[in-house]
Amino acid sequence: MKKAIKQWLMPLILIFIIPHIINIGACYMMNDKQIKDIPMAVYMGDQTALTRQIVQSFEDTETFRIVKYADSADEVEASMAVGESVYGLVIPEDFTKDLKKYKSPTILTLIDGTQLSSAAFTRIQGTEILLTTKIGGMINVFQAKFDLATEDALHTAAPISITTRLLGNPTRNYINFLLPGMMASLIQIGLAMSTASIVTVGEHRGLDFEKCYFKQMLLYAMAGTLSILLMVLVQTTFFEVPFRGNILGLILLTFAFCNAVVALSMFLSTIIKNKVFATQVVAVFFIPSSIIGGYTWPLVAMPLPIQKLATIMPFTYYGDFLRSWLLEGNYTQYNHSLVTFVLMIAIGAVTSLMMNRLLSSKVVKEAIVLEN
Amino acid sequence: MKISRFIEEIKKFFATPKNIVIMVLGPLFFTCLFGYVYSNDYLNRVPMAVLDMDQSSLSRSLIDKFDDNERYELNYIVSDMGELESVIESKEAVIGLFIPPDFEKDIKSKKGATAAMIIDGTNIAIGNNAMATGSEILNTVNAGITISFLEGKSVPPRLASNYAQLFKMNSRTLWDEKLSYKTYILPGMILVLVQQLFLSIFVVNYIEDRSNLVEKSLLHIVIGAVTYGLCFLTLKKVLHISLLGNVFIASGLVFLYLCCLLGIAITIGKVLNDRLKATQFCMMMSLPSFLTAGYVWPAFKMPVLITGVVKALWPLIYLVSPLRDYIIKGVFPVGFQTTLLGLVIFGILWMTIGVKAFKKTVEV
Repeated sequence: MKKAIKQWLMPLILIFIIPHIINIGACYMMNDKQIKDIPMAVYMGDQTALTRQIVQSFEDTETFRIVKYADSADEVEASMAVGESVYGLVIPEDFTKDLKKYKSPTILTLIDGTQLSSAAFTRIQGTEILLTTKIGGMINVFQAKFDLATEDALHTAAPISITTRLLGNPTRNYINFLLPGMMASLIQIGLAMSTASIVTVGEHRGLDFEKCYFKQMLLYAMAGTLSILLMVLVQTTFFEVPFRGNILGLILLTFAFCNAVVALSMFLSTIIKNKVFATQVVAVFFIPSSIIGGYTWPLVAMPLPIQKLATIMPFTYYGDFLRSWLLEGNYTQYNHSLVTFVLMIAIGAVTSLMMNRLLSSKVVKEAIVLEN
Repeated sequence: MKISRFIEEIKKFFATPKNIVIMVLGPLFFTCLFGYVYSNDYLNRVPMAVLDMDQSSLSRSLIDKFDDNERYELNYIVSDMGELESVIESKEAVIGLFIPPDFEKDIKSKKGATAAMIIDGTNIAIGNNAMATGSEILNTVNAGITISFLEGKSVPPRLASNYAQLFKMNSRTLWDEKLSYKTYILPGMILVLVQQLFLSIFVVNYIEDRSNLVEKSLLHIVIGAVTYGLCFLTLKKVLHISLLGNVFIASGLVFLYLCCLLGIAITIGKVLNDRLKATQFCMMMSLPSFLTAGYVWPAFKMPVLITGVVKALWPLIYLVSPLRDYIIKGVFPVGFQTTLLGLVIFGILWMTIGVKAFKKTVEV
């Protein structure tokens, strides 16, 4: 019993305990789901009812929170430099006067380009707010100048109205976007490191090795699958992550994925005798896969050699699947992923067994030579 | 601390090539690898699908505007809405443009028309960028149509343009105009790389040989800080990321950071007391420590409870974002002194625990 606890304690910590504590903590951390209340600095070079209305329209959204009214445009930039704000609005002097004279004054928006998570979103939201104000102003002008009815004036000011529909994650929910795959990746790392040191050449030979190999592979793949399913259960039950896919489809591909991870990891453990070094090599291979696997930064945007490298990483075929399966309920590359995992398992198992036979016979030969 | 012991530790460190490979070459290799991964600044040529139910000159010119933009690559012309949604759901296209029937006719008769952008929102980074550029194109086209309307009403071209551009909206992106992933991720990631590889080597070496703790710690910390400096220079000189911060100040801060991490490292060594387990644990902490450090999800949006727990258990949250901001902008963020004080207090508290653990081990 004590031996079993000793044997399973570390895998339990790596595959279950750490990932699940982090899963709950990270979901709770992102419970606002969207990045709201983005700190914003404003310079109002022109203090009129119109400019106050423009600023108020930013304040009225959930997206922005005005943290600073600056005395100059430079001060807005300075506020962004020290991280006090990440979005800036600069309304120039005589804005209203120039507007009334149809001189097309310019409103400047400043975006902190280092804050990628909020930059594109603030750009969209800020443009929308200013555009609404602008179209409102144009309608007034067209009504006054050309005696147009409100609707005609609207269609003159904005002939094409634009609607946008975000499929899959319409509310830009960060938990939905990031956490299913990231947590699966973490479980993958725990699984890979746990299995990198379980089967070592020299400890088992021949049939004994094969039995041990497949038994361990199945055991660990089942543990990994269970952990991922538990993670999905927590996210969907307590943190409103949708589950639109089919549970059997999820279980099947997850089990295949975990087997592929274990097969690759055990292959490395059969060729590297030193367990610590095998674990380090496995970690170095699996940890970057959450980046190289194209989960946050798409594969198509990476250079070709990296795209090729990604093809040997199981996570490349799983991260996107998991997110799409939960958010959209389907994944067109399902069969491709499944076949790839089966191939990885086969290649990993065959090469491990061959490698073991090769190295074992070498060990036996060396022993015979030593005996003689 | 004795010089002779320090020299002894230097000899031991460099006698094991694995130490140099993992602690020095490892962070440099990953800095270059990830720099290469993110070498395409923009997500260009986003696959796009179009459903044009109008087939007019206006709709074609609108499609051309998208096709001419380097952000999009028109891959699919589909014939119905189901097909449009299907290519997006299958990820064959990231953005779909729908132009309804009578689009041009409705615009010319001033009834107004609606164009729809359908975007795959499962990846926020791609979706937001695709949407921002698409909206800009449609707004430009809108302005052009408004101007031609007004000119049709005998308004002089310049005045028509000023009516249509009642006010201009200029947007300036500071420090990283291209909004690249490279500049966003790498300046923070190098600290995580140095931290992880420092931990995995130091803890293992500490478990193997507990002699000369002060000298051993100092040597590992110095090598960690120097490696960080080399990674910084790699970002600047090799990957051409614009960094305004000073490499010596940044490396000095990393030196302080690693000092504050030492207590945790010694405690891990004492608790696990096994090289394999320590390696597994240290490597396992890389993703969680980065995820909870206020980098991916901003610290100002983190619940107080989580911030408190993270600040008590792992020091990365104190330094990763401020240091990244410093090396990119060349200015320390507001409240940095308080943050630094928090880091030092963290380091002292964990060092107290670590020293107790060390003494206990030595006594045993």
